[in-house]
Amino acid sequence: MNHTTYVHRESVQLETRRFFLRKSMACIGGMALSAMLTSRASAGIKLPSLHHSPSAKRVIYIHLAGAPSQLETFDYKPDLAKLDGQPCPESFVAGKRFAFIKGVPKMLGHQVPFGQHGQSGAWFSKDLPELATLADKMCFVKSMWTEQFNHAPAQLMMQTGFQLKGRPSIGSWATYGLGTENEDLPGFIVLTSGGKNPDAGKTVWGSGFLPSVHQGVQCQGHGEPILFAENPKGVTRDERRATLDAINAINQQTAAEFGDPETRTRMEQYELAFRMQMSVPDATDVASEPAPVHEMYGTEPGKNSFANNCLLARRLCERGVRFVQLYDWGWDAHGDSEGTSLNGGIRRKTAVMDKALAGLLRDLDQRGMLKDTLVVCGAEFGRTPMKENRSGSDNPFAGRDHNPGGFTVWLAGGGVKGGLTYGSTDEFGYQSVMDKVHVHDLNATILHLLGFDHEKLTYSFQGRDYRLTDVEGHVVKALIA
Amino acid sequence: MPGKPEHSAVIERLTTKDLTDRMPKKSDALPAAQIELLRRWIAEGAQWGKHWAYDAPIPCGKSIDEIVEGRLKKEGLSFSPEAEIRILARRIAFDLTGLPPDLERVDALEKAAESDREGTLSSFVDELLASPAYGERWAVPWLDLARFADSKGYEADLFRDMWRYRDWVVDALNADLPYDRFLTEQLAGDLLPNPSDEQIIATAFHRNTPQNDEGGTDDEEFRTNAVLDRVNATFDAIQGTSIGCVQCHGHPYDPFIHREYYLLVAFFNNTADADRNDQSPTRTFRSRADAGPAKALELEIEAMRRDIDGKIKEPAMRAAFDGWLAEVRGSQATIPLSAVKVSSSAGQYSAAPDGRVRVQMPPPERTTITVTGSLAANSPREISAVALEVIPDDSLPSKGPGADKGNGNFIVSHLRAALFQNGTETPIEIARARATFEQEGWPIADALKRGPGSKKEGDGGWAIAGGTGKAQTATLTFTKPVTIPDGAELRVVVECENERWPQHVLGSFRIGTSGGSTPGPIAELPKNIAELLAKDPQKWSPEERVKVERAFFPSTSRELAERYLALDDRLGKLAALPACDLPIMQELTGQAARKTQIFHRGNWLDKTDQVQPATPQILNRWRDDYPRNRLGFSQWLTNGENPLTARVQVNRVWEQLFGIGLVETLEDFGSQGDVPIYQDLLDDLAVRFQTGMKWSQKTLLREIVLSRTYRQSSKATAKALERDPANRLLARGPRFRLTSEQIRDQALALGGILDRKLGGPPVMPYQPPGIWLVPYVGRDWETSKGTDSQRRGLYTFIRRSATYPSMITFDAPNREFCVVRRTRTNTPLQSLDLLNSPVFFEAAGGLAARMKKVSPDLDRQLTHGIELATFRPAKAQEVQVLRQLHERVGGDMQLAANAILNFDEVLNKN
Repeated sequence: MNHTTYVHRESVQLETRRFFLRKSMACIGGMALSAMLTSRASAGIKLPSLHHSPSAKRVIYIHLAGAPSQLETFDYKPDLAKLDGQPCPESFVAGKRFAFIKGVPKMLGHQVPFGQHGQSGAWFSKDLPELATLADKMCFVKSMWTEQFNHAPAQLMMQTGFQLKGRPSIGSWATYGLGTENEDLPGFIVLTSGGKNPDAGKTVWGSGFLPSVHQGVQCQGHGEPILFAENPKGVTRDERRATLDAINAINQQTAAEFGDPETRTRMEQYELAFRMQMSVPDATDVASEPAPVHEMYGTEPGKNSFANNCLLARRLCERGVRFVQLYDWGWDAHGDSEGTSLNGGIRRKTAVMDKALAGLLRDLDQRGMLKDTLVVCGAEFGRTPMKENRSGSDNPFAGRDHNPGGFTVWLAGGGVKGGLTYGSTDEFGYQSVMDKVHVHDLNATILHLLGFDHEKLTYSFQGRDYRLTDVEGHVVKALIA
Repeated sequence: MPGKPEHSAVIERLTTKDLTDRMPKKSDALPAAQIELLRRWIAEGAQWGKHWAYDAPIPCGKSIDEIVEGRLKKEGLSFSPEAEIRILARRIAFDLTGLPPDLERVDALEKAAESDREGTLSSFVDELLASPAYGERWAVPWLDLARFADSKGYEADLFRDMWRYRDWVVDALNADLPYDRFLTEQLAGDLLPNPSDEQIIATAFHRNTPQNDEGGTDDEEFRTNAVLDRVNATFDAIQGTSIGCVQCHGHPYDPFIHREYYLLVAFFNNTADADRNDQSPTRTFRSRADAGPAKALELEIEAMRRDIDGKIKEPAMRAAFDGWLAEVRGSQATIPLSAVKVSSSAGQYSAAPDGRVRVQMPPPERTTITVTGSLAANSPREISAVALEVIPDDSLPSKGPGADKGNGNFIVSHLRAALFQNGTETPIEIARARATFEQEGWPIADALKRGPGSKKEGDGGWAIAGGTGKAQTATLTFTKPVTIPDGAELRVVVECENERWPQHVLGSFRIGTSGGSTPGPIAELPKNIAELLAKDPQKWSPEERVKVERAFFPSTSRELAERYLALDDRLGKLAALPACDLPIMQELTGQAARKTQIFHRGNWLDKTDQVQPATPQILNRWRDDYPRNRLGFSQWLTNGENPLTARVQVNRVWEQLFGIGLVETLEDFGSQGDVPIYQDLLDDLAVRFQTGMKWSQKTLLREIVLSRTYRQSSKATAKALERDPANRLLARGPRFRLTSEQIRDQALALGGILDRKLGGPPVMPYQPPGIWLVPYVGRDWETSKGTDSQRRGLYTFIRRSATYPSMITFDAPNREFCVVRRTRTNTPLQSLDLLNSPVFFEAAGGLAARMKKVSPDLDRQLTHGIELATFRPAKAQEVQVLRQLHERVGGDMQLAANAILNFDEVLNKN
């Protein structure tokens, strides 16, 4: 084949692949994962190009599943304490839908004292002493809101921009747009802690109608970090190499005989799989970190925990993973038992979270990674300033019901303004009132930081161009440094 | 403005001098000639043809091959040669049965084809179409559309019995139920005259919608979601139309208006289901194979019951029963101890004159309570059991009887009784313990032993979460009756010492005794009977009465005992036949009928005009004699006038065989969908499918797989690839990766370990630990026993929130919503699964065993392995590659087989 024919053929294939990408989800067979994940130029595949220069190259997104209370973390309301124990104003419950509150509940004051920290004077509850020292690195959005008031649909809304299952998650959109920096690891990795998966199930990191190479790969806390990355018992790496050599030799012949480009892609996948067998154990070997690092995060080597996942997230980012999604289950503070009470179990969880996230921010900063790593920490909704009264009478412990009308999300690094507090809820921390930020606005902003116009990062499926932000969303420019 | 170009906004925009308004934006104006053309078109009335897919298909009277060959000729192309017969046999087998063929069958086929290729292939196809594996293979794409799963979805994602519907689909396909009836029975089987069981089962099609059991959800919201999902899935699956867009606004591209969506909703918005946790309405069915035997057993059981009833209603028997009842019910009354003294290791407990012991608030954390007292004056001196009666009390949190702040629960970690005389304790041996209520994992039996209990939390014990706020009794029966001498006392030591739950201490209770010369017969009875005996017999339900009778009457005569045993045997046999409590469709009528309103901008809380069922204007005409319900809707879909029904199904069948539909966008036949290269072929097949073929899918498949077009070799030259990379023009045969189910089934079949059993409840093959971590629901993946773990992939349990990993890795959907087309990816996770997962590695072991059996000669073994998997002769070079591998891995044949199962050729249909 002379040079001209070669170039012509390559460009035809490129066009074909572009067609597949644009037109269908069924025929992306021609696309290799490695190709999609490596730099686009070398792979010859046209993915959506960046719309502007990004300030964040990667994301660590922490979702506290169950939804912690903004009123025991960052949203301090002096007026709320005064109303503690009094029946809540009629207007709070009129026409509102709640998951569990019945009748007229009582107001519940802050269960933890608050203080101001940093140059910015940001508010932190006393249960967040470690994060408080990083006040000026953090950017708070205190006026978040959503329409969904049950966990599963609200988590889907937060993570996929739609309350029903079936849409791609934000991590899938991000890797669809960005590819990865590391040929030996998936671009979108999911870490879970708290003993359960999030309420909405694995759909929250699914790729929906995007090609399934973009789905989050769950790195398990126990057993094999990535399913089947370990050879069967008794099979050595050399033996695996020998097997792959044989498979490749035969596939080489098949490729020549059938001329199917998929066969060559498959050969590349086997090689990537072989490299992953090495790179995954290395990337996930948290125990190899020195003692001071464990001290910083509060990790106990060998134990699956939220802290462990924070440290693992840093290791994965270091190795070029684009999007690391953490889910920590167990924040649903209804106060129906000691474990879910704001002055009991939730405080213990808060202490773990405080140390681990502060450790993560410090560690990223010390390594010079915070400037282009966006850290997002949020939940599916907030909690009510009223005490939950599940069966019409008070729950036995201090707890709050679901509150879609107002909650706090914080961001750090990756080009957001440190030390900024944006928007606010009303005087009781109930409804967002000033500079309201909808879930779609937050997602639009995250995509913006990654270099995408959220209205242009689209995918055509079943007759419609879909995007993460559905038909809404505005970039919150004020958050951007 | 038809007829008036001078008033046309279009012409205005095209010709204006104002550059901000002029179209096309930011580019040059259209040439004057084009604008003139548009002007003329408007002047002539602006006639706009219908989009091709909304006009009825027109037959062209040519065969598949005539159409394709004619087109290829025009394109300067020609058919590829026919695929080698052995490769073709494998291709056809996968397409018709989803399984590789039998090697011996392929040998025979090759031989027979030498003399009569057409006849041989034709009978091979008939043989495969008649195999039950046909229905299993073709059920899978339909189940993707039906969003069939074994769980409900959403947060709790509880299990639900849907498998009988899956079996219906397999059976219907195997019976080649005509497609029009296949649709009608699923959409409206319940509305057919005198519907059969099978027709009712079919209606579970639209009960596959997800259901939300999350606490605090609004059932009406999720009922509404389910109804909308039914409309959307019906149109996605059967009409190739993305009607979902119209929920919120008029269709952006296709001629469907907002209002029409709700006219369709009205067809589906009138069923009894309402997102209730019990999924009602449901009906219990057994598998087709079990239905007959189950019916026979039921009849037999009924007769046996009648017979027993006749016997036990005799006056003498009645009298015996009543006498026994009085005796056992009397024996279980307990008499409280008197002169009770109480001490405790922590906290303050005090006893009232009536023997009632109460804690003083605040309660202690972990305590051992010692209660000592005399027998009451009215108690016999010889006692056979001691009872711990826990009693609710208003002073306790949640009324107790435990003192735990959370929920009134307690844990009795250990319980013992002793005779107390002259300051010394003589322990009393306990034979057994029963309680009126036991929390799961916390049985009373655990309070008799030390160390971890069933739950292994702290040190185990008896607890009653779920039964708090009520009096409960734990009875400890002695191994033999104990006489309490005068002056002696009875002592009961109650330990509440659980380390994990230290606050779970008792709050309010009483110790009683029960006497009699022998342990009451009640102590010999099972717990559930004892519980019933504690209730007033007047309040027994008929079933409860039968249970008590069952406990008593066998003791009255040997003959009756035998009859009861025979009855038990039949009941056991009936219970062993799996039953499916299947959600079904049920139409509401009269007062109960629901009204349908338009949702403003798709918001279900914002309802406007009420509407009646009707179909979209752009499609075929509604006939007035159709009932305005799901049945009428089905008739409208399948009356031969609907322009989409047959086209969409023919296209789906084509896509399954060729890897790409004649219309590539199976889900969208609208203006944004793909325009078919071969519309003539699609239309001709569609017309013949609903006329000459009488909607028979087997006839359709037979014609396609025997065509020259299908039988072409799939080998592609570089030139052919460049010309037509996706093979839209069909100048070569199809080649693409097998589905997740086929890859699994093939591996098990080649390994010789596939269990071909048909139907029944879903199975759980090996799955790595930790996949099912669903909030609130403690159901675990329990690997199926025996060869049930080696069934076809179709039968693998599908839990929507955490689907079987290997299925997802190979692009099976998680069945949360209707999926019209599966993605086909090629990823390293697939390689890892195929190389290393226990399922595939075990299959390799099976294949290795088959290879080694054929001959002692290594080369012969390796050759056999390649032939078993590829169905074509092995090449010398391939055998050499495998021989080298075999040597490098120290002679491990399993790894050689592992390599074979990973050949690209094996993973693809070639």
